[in-house]
Amino acid sequence: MGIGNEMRSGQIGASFRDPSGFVFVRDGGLYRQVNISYQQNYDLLFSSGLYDALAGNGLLVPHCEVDIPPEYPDTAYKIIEPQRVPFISYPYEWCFSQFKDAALLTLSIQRLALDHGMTLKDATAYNVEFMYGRPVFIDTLSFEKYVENVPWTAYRQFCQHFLAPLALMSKCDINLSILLRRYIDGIPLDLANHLLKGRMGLNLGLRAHIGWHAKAQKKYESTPVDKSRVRMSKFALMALIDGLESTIRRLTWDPCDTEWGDYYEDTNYSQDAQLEKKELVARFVDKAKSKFVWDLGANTGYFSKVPAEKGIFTVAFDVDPAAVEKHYRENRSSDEQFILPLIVDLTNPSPAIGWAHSERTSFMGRGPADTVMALALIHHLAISNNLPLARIADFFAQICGESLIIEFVPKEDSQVRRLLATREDIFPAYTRECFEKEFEPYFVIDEAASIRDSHRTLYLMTRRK
Amino acid sequence: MISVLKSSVKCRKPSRGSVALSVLIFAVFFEFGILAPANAYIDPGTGSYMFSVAITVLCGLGYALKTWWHSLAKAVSNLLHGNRK
Repeated sequence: MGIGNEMRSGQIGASFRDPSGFVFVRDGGLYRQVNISYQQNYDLLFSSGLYDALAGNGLLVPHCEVDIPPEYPDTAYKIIEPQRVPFISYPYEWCFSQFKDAALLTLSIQRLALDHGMTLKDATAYNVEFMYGRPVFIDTLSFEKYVENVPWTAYRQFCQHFLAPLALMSKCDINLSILLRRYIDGIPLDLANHLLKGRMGLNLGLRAHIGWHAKAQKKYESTPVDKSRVRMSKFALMALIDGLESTIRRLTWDPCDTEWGDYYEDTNYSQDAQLEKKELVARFVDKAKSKFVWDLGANTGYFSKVPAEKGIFTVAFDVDPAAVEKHYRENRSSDEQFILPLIVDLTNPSPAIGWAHSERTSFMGRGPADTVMALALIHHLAISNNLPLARIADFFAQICGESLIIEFVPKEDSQVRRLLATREDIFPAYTRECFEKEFEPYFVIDEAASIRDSHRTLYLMTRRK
Repeated sequence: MISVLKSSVKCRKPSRGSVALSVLIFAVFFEFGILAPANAYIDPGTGSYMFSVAITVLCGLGYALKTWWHSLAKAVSNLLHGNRK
């Protein structure tokens, strides 16, 4: 878990920019080589008490030092083994509140670092992952000794990685976080400023940290300046952090009026039928002996809770940002630790991006999942998106390691009739018999159960080896 | 930020005090001296670097007010709490 089948032994594709060290994989384990160039800062991280303050409060992923041969012995100081992240996610897959929590975490870590005589040397959103329902900082080598009067070198990166996307999601369109798939080092501030024109209102923080900041970038882009003569006192630096935090806290988004946000208030089932379906899913999860679940089309996570209540880590994917937002907020307030909601469009999932397509892993590359759940999904793929059942079966075969819990929704169902109401029915092969026939080359059907008060059938299938 | 300062000085027919303040601000920001260079593997960006220093004028005022207010609130709370005992 946390690596995906695209990773091989050796230095991982995303870890090469920082000369302080890098992450590598060996014999299924994930390690970080700390280079000699980072020795002083690494030792200071501990001697200052910062590591204990961060890891002890769940803000930084903890690690232990291990005695294994380094990947590159000539440059190695130590090898550490960090606690594994259950599932790697990327900022362009986060809902608004996940993004905001990640931004506020980064700033509070910078504050704490300054209190201990250190500072963050970078502020990329890719330094944050979600573990047990909360954002956690994962890059132990991001800290360096704070030198009095030196400005914060990560300020630009913070504005591009956190402030600009959040401002665009809040003020323009919630889907604009997708720009981070195109701009891997954060959204350029001149672009953000252009898109936010007329939308910043009286928000002085946004006008300053995005608008004026963009103009300053343009003004000085070709002007040589002796940076060694530029000073920022610690008080000023704390004020800058405080200003950024206030600006971020003021950004909000209300998840209403989207296509799927209120799905569970308008379903096909009676309350009893809904509960019976939930019990059926629970029985299938037990029978499959699931260890790690992907719930596709999870909406607000009603059925994601089934494996989660059994202590099984579940990644809940949905295309609707409002549904994921509601799901995350509910999990956060109930301190749910076994569900990670994410935004993914299955018809155009996150690709592999970055240098040599290897910095950020694709959606499928982070699988396969031990168990995949696909409830009330197949008709959206087949009917709304014209995907042939054979291709759908092939897709599930690629992402499913052991078991598949899938619901077939026939044309008699009112949801499918609604989908076909305004279009020609060009789906003669969309039948239960064809569905079973197309899945048969990849899966063995262990059990099929009719869902009460509906025409739907729930299947438990096992992946053929 | 610098152009705002310059225009405000021009419009108000600067007194000796405001000119001195502008000089002070410039001196604070662009004090000459040997400093350790930024040990960053990422490019902080020249414009961003300069701007981050300039924007702390606004941030600093707000932060100072906030810090002062919290100190005052705490002092008053301690005083009231002490009086009740």
